[in-house]
Amino acid sequence: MENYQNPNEPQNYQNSNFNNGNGNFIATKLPNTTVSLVLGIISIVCCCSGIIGIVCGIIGLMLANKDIKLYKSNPQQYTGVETTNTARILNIIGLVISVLSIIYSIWSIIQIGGWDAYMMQIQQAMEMAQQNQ
Amino acid sequence: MIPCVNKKLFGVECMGCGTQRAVYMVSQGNFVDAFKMFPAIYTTILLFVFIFLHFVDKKRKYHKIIIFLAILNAVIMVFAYIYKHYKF
Repeated sequence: MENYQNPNEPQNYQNSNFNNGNGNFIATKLPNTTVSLVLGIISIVCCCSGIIGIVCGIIGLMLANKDIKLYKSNPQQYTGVETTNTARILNIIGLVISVLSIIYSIWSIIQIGGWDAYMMQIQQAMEMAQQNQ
Repeated sequence: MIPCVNKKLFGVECMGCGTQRAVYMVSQGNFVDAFKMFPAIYTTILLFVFIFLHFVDKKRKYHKIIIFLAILNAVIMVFAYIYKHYKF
């Protein structure tokens, strides 16, 4: 979908140097602001499950960076760069929390004594739970 | 309630653990218990209110307050997590 460019869409007018007659470019919204904002929110909320948070955070950060690059290439053309900045910061925060959370998980598994010891502990816990039932 | 994947897989509580319980407690009116369960709950709720406003109310700009709340939220989450697990 990203490579598809509809010439009638305002965001593609930059290719034909479209202007509104006053010498000013018609301002259009940056394409990925809302998506990257939503991804940032997801990465903050889903920091629980580390992996989802990291994936959403990286995708959102890439989208936001792409938008900022687009904005810098032609600042008059686009509006909504503040939203993109917000989205970028949300993504960074979500990413940091997810990474911290995963690092802590790995560290605690190492503390228990490696993967095998950890699996043993889980099995013991499962047996305990079954006996209690 | 959605179970925490981190807790299921690794057996370790994550930084977001307690959010759902805290939201439930707030909806029940146990505000103090909710804070004890997950101290970042109120900043999280505020953050979501402002993000919702950002989508609904296009006239005003909420960027700075959203960024501030998100950073505050992350800081509270990290410190509450450390406090919960090490209890100085």
